[in-house]
Amino acid sequence: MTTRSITIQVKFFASLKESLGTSQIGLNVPIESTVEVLLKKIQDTYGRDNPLIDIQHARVAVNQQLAEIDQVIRQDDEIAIFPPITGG
Amino acid sequence: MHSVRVQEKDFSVHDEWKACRERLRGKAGAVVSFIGLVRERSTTGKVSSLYLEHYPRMTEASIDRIVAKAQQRWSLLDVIVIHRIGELQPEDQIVLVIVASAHRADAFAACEFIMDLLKTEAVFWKKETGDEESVWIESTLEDVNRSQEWQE
Repeated sequence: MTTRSITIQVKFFASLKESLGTSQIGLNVPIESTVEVLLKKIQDTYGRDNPLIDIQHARVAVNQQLAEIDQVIRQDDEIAIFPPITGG
Repeated sequence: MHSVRVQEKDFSVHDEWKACRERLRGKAGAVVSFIGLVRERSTTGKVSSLYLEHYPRMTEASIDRIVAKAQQRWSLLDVIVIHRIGELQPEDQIVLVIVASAHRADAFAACEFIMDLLKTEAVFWKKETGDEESVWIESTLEDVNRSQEWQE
């Protein structure tokens, strides 16, 4: 049985955007994937040991609301990953 | 009544104050304003420029929430927050907060509260460029402590 997947767009901000060299990527993840699965996928894509990509301290927003790692991602969700905010 | 703007262009304190006064039309007894500027020195040394990045709509929503908290806590007639983004130089205006109320205590407290929370809860990332390198900066302990004091 094949697992159905969805394509999602992920935005990056600040130092993560700089380290990854892109402000947005498209990724395929299995349907019903959580934020945690997405972060692992990004680590696998960019190299787990890449010191520039501090995924462990990254924050994830789904539809502009900060998300927990067990939140399930849907096809049309707006996903953003960024370092801790520094305020105004 | 409140207004939140995130913009690259500079703001005129005079124009904002004039517009605020016209909206209030005699109701306010106190207006407190705060203007934040880019310092020429930071803890890491000389600053030649400061870059502010935001997340469109999420940043505005985060400031709206701060203003709503202030409005729940104090009796306010008008709140204006303008925050700049993009590349700024030392001495540039970076943020304007104007708070109007019937009596001064509410306006003083709310203005300080909004500013303290902007430093920790508003969705911005800042990068300082000095003589040699650019560094993404983190919230200072002082900022975090000041923000937390309001929660006690």
